[in-house]
Amino acid sequence: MHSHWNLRQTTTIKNSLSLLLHPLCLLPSPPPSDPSFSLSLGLMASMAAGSISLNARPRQMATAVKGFSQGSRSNLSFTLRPLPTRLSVSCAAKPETVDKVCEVVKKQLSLKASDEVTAATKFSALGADSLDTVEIVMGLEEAFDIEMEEDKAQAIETVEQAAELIEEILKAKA
Amino acid sequence: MGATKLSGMQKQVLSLYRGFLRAARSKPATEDRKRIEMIVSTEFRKNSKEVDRKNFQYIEYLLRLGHKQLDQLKSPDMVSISSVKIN
Repeated sequence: MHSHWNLRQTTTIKNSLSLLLHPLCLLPSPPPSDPSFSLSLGLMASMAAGSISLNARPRQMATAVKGFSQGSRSNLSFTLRPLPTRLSVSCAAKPETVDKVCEVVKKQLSLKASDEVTAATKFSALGADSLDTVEIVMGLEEAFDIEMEEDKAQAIETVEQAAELIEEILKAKA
Repeated sequence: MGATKLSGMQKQVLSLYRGFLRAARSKPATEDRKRIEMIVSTEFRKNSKEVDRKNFQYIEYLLRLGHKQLDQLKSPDMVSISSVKIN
């Protein structure tokens, strides 16, 4: 399909082009998320000649825009994708924090020392109900000398999530 | 808990429970604190098992009652609580 080809072409070029974006911003610029803009960037790159102006191919741009708007795809924007950021955050908890959290969880649920609690452990997997979870959160607040917001505390399901939230709060406090 | 999303009422109950634990924490004597925590958690657990989860009216009543008791417990004059078993 014609429009489909256009889409793929543009996205691959866009990926390789992302670093070049700054100098190109000197052009009379529509908003960066505008599909026609990214397409024309792609065309310019593939031509490899700097003499082609943005307005040189109005018809092609127009058809391309039509194709994109039909597909309602949003992956042509130049904004950063949220996924990598989230991943980097989820690895942020320090092992000491995780260990301390595990300790508090074990104490709070009166688990045996032999019971294994790791970062990925879900509280519910340890037999904790929602009341236990509140107790764990309160115990954590005391152990780390912090206050957790209720909405955020209620969303905690795993040791790792707890450790992340704690570090976030500690960082904000420092 | 787990992946299930909590209803508004469940959140209210948990929030009340948290309030009780916070109030208990504010009491100076450790043994009083322990006793308060014990009584509160027993009460919550008992009701969580005994009360039908669809009995919204009764749960709402218990929530109101709990908030009133919490307000009383929060006052610094209130040092501890005790529970009496009536058969």
